[in-house]
Amino acid sequence: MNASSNSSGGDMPDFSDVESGASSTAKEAAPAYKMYTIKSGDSLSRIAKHEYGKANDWHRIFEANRDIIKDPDKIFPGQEIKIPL
Amino acid sequence: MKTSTPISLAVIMTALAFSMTACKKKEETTALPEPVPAPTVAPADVINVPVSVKQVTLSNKIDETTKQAAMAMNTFAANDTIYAVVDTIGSGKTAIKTVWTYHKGDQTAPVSEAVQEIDATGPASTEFHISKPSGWPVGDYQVEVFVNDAPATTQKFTVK
Repeated sequence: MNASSNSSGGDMPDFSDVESGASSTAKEAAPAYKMYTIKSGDSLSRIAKHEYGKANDWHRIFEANRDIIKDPDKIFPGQEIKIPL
Repeated sequence: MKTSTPISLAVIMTALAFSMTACKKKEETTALPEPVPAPTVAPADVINVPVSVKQVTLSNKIDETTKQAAMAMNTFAANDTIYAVVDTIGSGKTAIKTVWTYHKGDQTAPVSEAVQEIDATGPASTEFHISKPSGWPVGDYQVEVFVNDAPATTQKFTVK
């Protein structure tokens, strides 16, 4: 299920600039998102810069993860968070 | 004796009138039954049937309203936006996830993944799309579809 479990670096292409989205004819219970595992050195603004191109959009990520992130300055490696698309 | 007859007649008539009124009231009471609420049974296709995947269609274009693929395809160009349209049946709150990967020999690279949570009340179409401004590397890809984290189906495609 984890797409990265079989990955290897080497000569594999870089997909870091891939953009994605989703929508439905059904009532959407929540905005579409992707999961992200926090790595050492990450901050919400750094993740926002990578995902949205603007560090100031960190609050979008914070709001989507209020259940697990109580303080936006305290995130921990290994935490799995939602990144709104 | 002569004077008692009209009085007796009046008493009888009065009693008869009362009994008729009483009977009439009784009839009126039984003639108006309690209102019966209309049955609230939902159509058969939305009664607690969990969401399941009917089919997945890949395309480079969809109808934004119906979310239907313009044309099913499994080979794409480097600058295409790639859509996976997941048609489902059933109802209820459900998380539909797609995991997109690139395959080269026995190596796999993650491309993208996305989750859309829906509150379905019947058949629905949910589209997932990916694009890559710098262009898709040529090769083999696949998209896996999960329903509430359970694998549902996998579609393979190629970029040429």
